[in-house]
Formats: sequence, C-alpha cells, structure tokens
Amino acid sequence: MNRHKLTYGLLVFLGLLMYKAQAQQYTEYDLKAAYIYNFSKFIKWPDHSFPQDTSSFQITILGDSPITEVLHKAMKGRKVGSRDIHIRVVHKVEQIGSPHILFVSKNMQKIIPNIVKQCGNKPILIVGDVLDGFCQSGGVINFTPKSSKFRFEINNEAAQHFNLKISSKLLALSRIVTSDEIKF
Amino acid sequence: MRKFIIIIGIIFLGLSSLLAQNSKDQKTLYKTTQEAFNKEQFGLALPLLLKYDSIYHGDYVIKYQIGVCYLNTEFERTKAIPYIEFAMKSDRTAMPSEVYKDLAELYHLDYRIEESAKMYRSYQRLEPSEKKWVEKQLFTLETAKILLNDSLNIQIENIGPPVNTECSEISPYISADESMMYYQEKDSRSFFVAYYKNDKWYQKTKLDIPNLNNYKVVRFAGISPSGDQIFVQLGDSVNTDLYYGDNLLKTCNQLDRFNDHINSKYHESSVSISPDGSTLYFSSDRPGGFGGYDIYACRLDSNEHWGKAENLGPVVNSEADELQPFIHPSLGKLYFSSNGHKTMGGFDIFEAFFYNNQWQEVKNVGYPINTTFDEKGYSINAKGSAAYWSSSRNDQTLHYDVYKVFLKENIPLTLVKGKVLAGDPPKPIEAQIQVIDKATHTLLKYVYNPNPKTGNYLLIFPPGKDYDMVVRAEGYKPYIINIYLPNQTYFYENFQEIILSPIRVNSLGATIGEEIKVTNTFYDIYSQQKDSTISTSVDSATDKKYDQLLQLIEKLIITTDTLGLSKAAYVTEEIEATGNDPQMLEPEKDYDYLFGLIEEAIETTDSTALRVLDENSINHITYQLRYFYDIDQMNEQLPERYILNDTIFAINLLSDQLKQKQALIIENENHKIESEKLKLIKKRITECTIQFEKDKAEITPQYYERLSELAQLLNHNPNLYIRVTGFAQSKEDPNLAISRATEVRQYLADQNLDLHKTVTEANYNSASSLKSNQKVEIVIFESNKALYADGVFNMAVKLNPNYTIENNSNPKQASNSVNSNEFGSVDAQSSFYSVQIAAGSNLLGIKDPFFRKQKAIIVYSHNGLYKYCLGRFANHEAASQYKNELRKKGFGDAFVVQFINGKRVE
Repeated sequence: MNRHKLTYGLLVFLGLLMYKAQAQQYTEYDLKAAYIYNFSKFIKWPDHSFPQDTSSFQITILGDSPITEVLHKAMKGRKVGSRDIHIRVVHKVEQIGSPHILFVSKNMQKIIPNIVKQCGNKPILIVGDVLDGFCQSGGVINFTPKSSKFRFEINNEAAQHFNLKISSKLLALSRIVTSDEIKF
Repeated sequence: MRKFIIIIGIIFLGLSSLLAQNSKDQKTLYKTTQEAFNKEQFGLALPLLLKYDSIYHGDYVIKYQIGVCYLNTEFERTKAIPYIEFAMKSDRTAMPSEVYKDLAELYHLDYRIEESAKMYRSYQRLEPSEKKWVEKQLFTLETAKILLNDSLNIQIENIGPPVNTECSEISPYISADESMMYYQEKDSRSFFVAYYKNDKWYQKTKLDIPNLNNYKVVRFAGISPSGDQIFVQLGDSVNTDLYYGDNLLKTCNQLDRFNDHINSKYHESSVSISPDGSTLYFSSDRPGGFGGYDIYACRLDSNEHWGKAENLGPVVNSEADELQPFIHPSLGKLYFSSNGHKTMGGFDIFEAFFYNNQWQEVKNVGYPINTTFDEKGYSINAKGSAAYWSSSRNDQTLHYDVYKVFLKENIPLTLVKGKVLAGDPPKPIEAQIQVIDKATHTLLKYVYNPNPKTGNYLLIFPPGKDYDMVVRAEGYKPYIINIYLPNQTYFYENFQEIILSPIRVNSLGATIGEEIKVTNTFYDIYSQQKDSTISTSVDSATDKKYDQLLQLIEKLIITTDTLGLSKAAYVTEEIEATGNDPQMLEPEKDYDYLFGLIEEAIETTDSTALRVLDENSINHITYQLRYFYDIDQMNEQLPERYILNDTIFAINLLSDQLKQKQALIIENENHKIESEKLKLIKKRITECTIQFEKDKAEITPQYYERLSELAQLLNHNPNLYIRVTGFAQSKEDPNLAISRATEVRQYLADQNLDLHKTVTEANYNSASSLKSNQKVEIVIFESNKALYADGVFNMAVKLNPNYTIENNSNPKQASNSVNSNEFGSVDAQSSFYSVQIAAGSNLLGIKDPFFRKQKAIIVYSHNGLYKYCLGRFANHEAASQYKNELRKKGFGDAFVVQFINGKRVE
C-alpha cells in the first residue's frame, strides 16, 4: 500500500494535465447547490419566517430537477446558522407552502407568473434555474446560462417585496433586473 | 542447457574426491548438495550449495554449481553471473563452450553489453559452426546499445496488486477508455477483468466462460476497443483457432469461431479490431508468410463478413515471430510484439506506421518500455496517455507482470462513450448505431451495436469532422443525432446517454408518440482553460489573477482526488466484500471545499473566481425531441436523408447549437432534409370524446383524470394544440354547445393550460342522433407553427349554431382592427365601448381565474401592442361604471375605449 501511495504522490505532480481530464469534477448543479447554500448566508430572512428558535431552514424544489439529488447529498449534515436544513420536492404550485428558498426547476418556465402569485408576499427566496424572464416576472434570483458574464441575476425589488435583505456583496456579483412594467 | 548440465555434473563429480578430506559434517552436507544437484533438483540444491559456499568458500566447483542452479530456476537468473565468473576465472579450460554462451546471455540480460559481446565472440571461437547465430546475437546487442543510449525519459510502473500476483500475468488488453483490463494468468485457463477508477486498478473478477475444458490450449486473444467483445484462442498443439464472444457483465455465454479467412489449420493467436470495426488484425503461423508467426489483416466486406486475410508484408513481418497486434484508434499505428526486427533481447514491442496506403516503417518503441527481457501484448488507451503490457523484466525469466507507462502523447481524438436505454423505466435495448461522415456523405461501414445487456457503446473519431449518428432501436423510430467534433488538438471525451421512451396518455390507453433525450457530458476542461477562457478574459487585471485562480482550481481538483484516494482503500475492501463493480461506487465529493470557495468569492466579491469555477464545471447538454404519431396516417413517412448511395429515413434531432449552422445549409440548398423542416407540419395526434348528460353542461367526474392528463401533455409540449368542439341539438338549446365547450376549456385552464393553445368551437348536427350531440370532441394537434397565433382567446363561438369558426383565420389582418376570433364575435360592423386593462408587446398567457370568468375579453393589436379589454357596452356610462369596478378590483389603470365598425377610435 505504501508503495502505491508513493506512486500516487508522483502521479499528482507529474500527471496534472491528465488529472484535469479524469479527476472527479464538480457539475453545474454542484455549483448551483453551493450557491443556494451561500445565498442563505448572504440573504437575511425576516424573523417571523422562523416561528421558533428551532425551526428548520426549508428548501423546496418545484418540479423535477437534477438539483434534488445534489442538494440531498451536499446538504447532508449542514446547517444554516444553528438550523437544520429541510429539503422537500413538490410538483404543484399549490403545494409550495412557505419555504425559505423555493427552487424553480427548468420545466416550470410556463407557469412562472402562477408561482410568483402563489408566493404572495411570504418571505420566500424564489430561485429560478435558468428561466427566461424569471426575474422580470417577479422571481428573486435566476441562474444564468453557462459562460454568462454573471452567474445569476437578482431582482432586488422583488426581494424587498418578499421582505428579504440581500447582501450588497451578492448584489455586486449579479446582474440587477427590475420587474417589467406590464404586470397583471 | 540440460545436456550441458549433465556434462558439468560428471566433470565435477570426479573432482569431488579432492574435497572429501574435510570434516564429517562438511562431507555430509557436500554429499546432500551433490545428490540434489545431480538429480537436477536445482531448487533444492541451491540453498544447500549456498550454505556450503558460505562456510567453505573458495570452492569454484560449488560456485559453478550455484551458478547453474540460478540459471535453471525461474527467478533471478542474473544472480548466476558472479558464480560463473568465479568458476571461469579459476579454470577457464575446464569450461565447456556452453558456459560462454550462458554467460554471454546473462551479461546481455544484465545490460553488460560489451562483456556480453566479448563472451559471444569467445563462444564463437569455440563453436565456429554457430557463427550465424552469434552474429544475430551481436546485432541484438548492438540494438540494445543504441536503445540504451537513447533511453526514453518516461515513467514506468509495475501496476502491482490486485492484477499482479505470484502468478504470471500475460496478455493484458485495456479498453480504449482505460476503464478496464482483461488478462490471463499464465499456465492457468483463467481470464480476469480488472477495473480502473480514480487512478487505481481494482479487484479483478474472473471471467466466466463455459466449455473451455474441451480445449488443450486456452489463451486470451484480445478485446474490442469498447471491451464489449472478447477474443479467445482455442485448440491444441497442432491447431489453434480464434473465437469471439460478447462479454456480458463478466460472463461470456457463447464463443463463436471466426470464419475460415481468419482461421486456418495452423495456429492463430491474438486479435485486434480497429475502432470503426472495419479491419481485424491477427497473428498466424500459416504457411506463405515470412517465417514464424506473421500479422495478417482482414476487412469487413459489404455483407459484414470478414474477407480474405492479407499478410501485412515484409515491413511488418520478419522471419521471426510477430505476435499480439494492437491497432490504435488513431489508425496510423499498429503495435506488436516480436523477437525479430531490431529487438534488444527476447520479445520487444514494435510500432508500425501506416501512411500512403501501406505499412512503411517499423520502430522499436525503445528502452525502458523494452528491456533485454520479454515484452509482450502492448495496448494503449485512446488518448495515448498510457500503455500496458506484460514483461518478465524483473530478472525473473519466466515470471511476467503487467506494467504501465505514462506517455506524453496527446492524441487528438474524440471518444464517445454512450449508453442507449429505452422504455419506462429505461432499460438497455437492442439497437443499431450507424455513422455517417457528413463531409463525404458516406455511411461508415461498421454498425456499432450497443451491448444489449448494458446498452453501452463506444465510438472513436478523429478531430475536425462532423458525423451523424443514426440510432435505430427496436420499437422506436430511427433518429439522427449529430456529433459535432471541434477541430481540436487535444483529447476530448464525451459521455452520451440516449433515452427513448414512449409518450402515453394513460387515461386513453394510447401511445401517442415517443421521446428521445440525448445528454452529452463533456470533459473538456483542458481545452476550456487553454482556448476559451483565456481568449475571453475581460481585461489584463483579470489575466493576472488568472494564474492564481487556476492554481486554486488545481488545488481543488487535487483535493477532490486526494479524498478519492483515501477512500480508495475503503472502496477496495468493500468491493472485495461485496463483489460489486467499483464503477458503481463513487467517492463522495468534497462539498465543504466548494461551498467554502464560493463563500470566499462572494465575501470578497470576486466575480472572476466565480466565473472560473463556472467554466470548469462539467457541462451537461441535454436536448430532446418528442415525436408524435399522426393518427390520420399510420404509416407516415419519415424525413428522408440522402447520402451517397443510400437513403436513410430518420428523424433529425438537432441541438440548438446546430440550428444556426443548419440554416446556412438551407441557404446552400444542398440538403433536402433541412428544407423539409421548413414545411408546415400539422398533424392530428389523438382525439377523444367527453360525453355529457342530456341538457347538461357539467363535466362528469369520470373525465377529470383524462382532461388533467391532456392539459399536462399540452403544457409539456409547446407544439401541441387542442381543439374543443361542443355539440348540442340545436332545437333544444343553441347555447348548450357553447357552454359544454366552455366548461371543458375552463377545466383545462384550471389545470394551468395556456389558453393560447385552445381553440373552442360549437357545432351541432340536427341530422344525427341526440346522443351523438351530447358531447364535446377533443382533438390534439401538433404544429411547428403556432396555429392560432393571433387569436388570443380562441373562444370563437358564434351564437348562430349553423356557423363554425374557421380554425385558421388569417392572422395578419388583425392589425389595428379587432381580431375576429375572440369571445363575443366582433365583426367589422360592430360598434361598442369596452374597458382596456392592459397592453403589452407580446401576447400574454392569461391563466388568472379572474379572466376566465369574464364574459367578453377582447384582444386587439394597436400601435404595435397587444391590448386587452373587458366587456362590451352599448354606451359610455355602462362602460365607465364597469371601469370603476375594475379599478376597485386592482386594475388601477383601466380606462374606457371605443370601437366603431370594429376599429378602435382614439
């Protein structure tokens, strides 16, 4: 075994390029999961969103998405402050409830206005998975396609509407979007 | 050798009396040693002789005998050198000529080239008849000298356990992606497979092949590049033949004999198939060659049979043996083992180059891949970064281990590792994959059949070419999938998953279409750093930071992998315990590191760090296509595609990235298929009936599930539209037909169905029976063009039951006039007031229940905007009152508008 460790050690130094091609890599959704977790650190929810000191931090995923599996793996044993993280998947708008983060999967493009409406003015951070016009329709944060200038876009007006305070650092890293004038 | 030992034994038996005067112990020990030695029990004699020598050293006979023992045991032959040298120094004249020969060989193995040459010359003086043989040895020595001088600066390792054991491992063959290795344990009839994961070879598994016991000779002969097919050499001492079999999850149920072009009544061994499957290389000692075993090639003929075997000719084949050919995916290179050519001793690995349509040159791959010992069975991974072979180099003449070399070559090939699955839930399926070269419009000969048990396939392509893959799976339409290969200079790996599934409407018990979903995962990180990222760097400040960030990323990668490494030991144990595939077990990712990295980047508002992370993540690109069957035309013709001699009927699956390119091709009018796409497709997919009770417009609950399912189907498929036609017996109630249709439309709208996609009609037929008029008919269409694009709410119902609205009114006439297709039938003559509540540049999907309850919604386009009005009023007062109501309900901006003769007036 020792001999093997030595060989691997050598490999790490000599075969870096090769490693790049072969090493286990983070996927797009690993990154998104990492962003979602960090959103919880750079965004402040109103106190009343946590009825009790022990209330968990709720993440709800709307629709089928690869993020579900990744979040379950990546959030294992993690906490937001002192709060446990609770992940839930729903398929219907009516089932959204009042999570802290609502992740809207790609196939929900068509019903964005319904989702926004369903959230009312509850303190929900609505995060869209690369959805067209998501922030314009009242969503708070939308991931952008790969290789965009910004990783995500934020509608801070919408955030204020939902009583969420987004750190200026996060805002500085995002494209700022405002709601369209046409709104029903 | 044996004869020579006996002679020596007799000579020294005579001398043994000289030693007899020593003590009794010595005598006894001496006697035992000589007994063992004379019985040629060298393994037994060696420790005794060594013991004797350590006590009473200086006896050159004993030394000589020790030398002989080392020479004749399997291991450590070169240890004999000092003993034989000692004996020779003591009494040169007493030495038989064979001793010179042996010592020369030992010096050779020990890389003592000059001494070896000298000894060979001495041998030749004693045995003049051996001149030719000695000259050959001297030539080999000369080669060894040159190769040793030009030693390659490469890293070689013995790959160790679990592959290498006390047994000899021979014939190692790796799959093109280096994920698995098949090999044989010498002197056993067992074949094994080992798996490579996270830079480590994992627990081997014995390959289960029945009925091997019928053959005296059982040897492993090779694998296909994907590893899905194995080749075996079977027979007896007179004749061995080559067989092939599908490797199905570590078992091979049936071996089939290759045809008589490949197999003769002589010996055939070792097979290698080119990655496109069109050429097969094998080794045979049939007459008509250049001596010993030669390498032959067979090509697949048009009937998919192996054609006549051709000897590769005198460039590749020498008068000695050429064995174990391996054709590399880059196709220009063939590797093989030979004890002819310019070997530096024993069997060496050679490389043959193919250009200008023939084999031009054979080169020794060099020291230290080749040594003075035997090197056999060389195979390289597709990207050219690593090669494996079996060698006896550890100074253990008959003991072979598997070695690996890390090559610096970076072969610009694209490896597509794929999987075809079908059904719900998806399972491996019988499928065929054909490949079309788009530049030459030719169908590549070979049909890639995915392994039916696993669905796996493997394609290897040279760079800078575009291919189309035609995938035909049983029970599904054929699909064309484009493989776009950039003109890269690096190795490019693509994991592709094709999932076919039926689209069903369960409540109707009907399969209405099928879906193909292709997911490509690119491992292209090196190129991204090298090409795209650097060239798109925003400014020089970013550039400076870039190095630092790359280091960060590297650190990240290393960290991930070190973690994988520490897990490796644990994983191995687990595999040993459960016998699971190591491929199934993935080491956990280090999310802490990633999470921390992103937190740090946000904390320091470092957008470049985020960008680099983003660009280094694995990219999954999925594109999918849903194909719906046309109920009017059961045997619909698929789009044709012409290639040189063949016509292929298949559905073209284009990725978004390619659509642009495709558009260009249309301009060139080269491809028929692309222009085909421009044609308006409009087909009926499915239809059903909702029965109503007499005089009633309520949907009975039994239809809820069906309607929900249809709404969902339409929501998921932008190209599908629905027509709802309400029926009633006109004499009873002309509005009943409308109510029924409205009821169904509303139910669909409640299921989040976008109302743009609904067209509602009323109809009645007084001639037919009552029952046939108590219904709503639903038809689902597919169209590549928004069928009712400009009629927003196609709630086009005329109160006059004799009138059925045309489905496809001219959409262009809407300009500045009220569209004739909304609820409430606005014709060009009508004048009224209404309340405008909104305007927008796009048609809006209105699903608000509020709107659904409105009696009249008017949408018209005016000054380039779509405007939405509610209500129809005869006078301004009524309209104004309604406006106030609406304002209270939240439409703060509502105002009254007037229409005269169907036109909005300012």
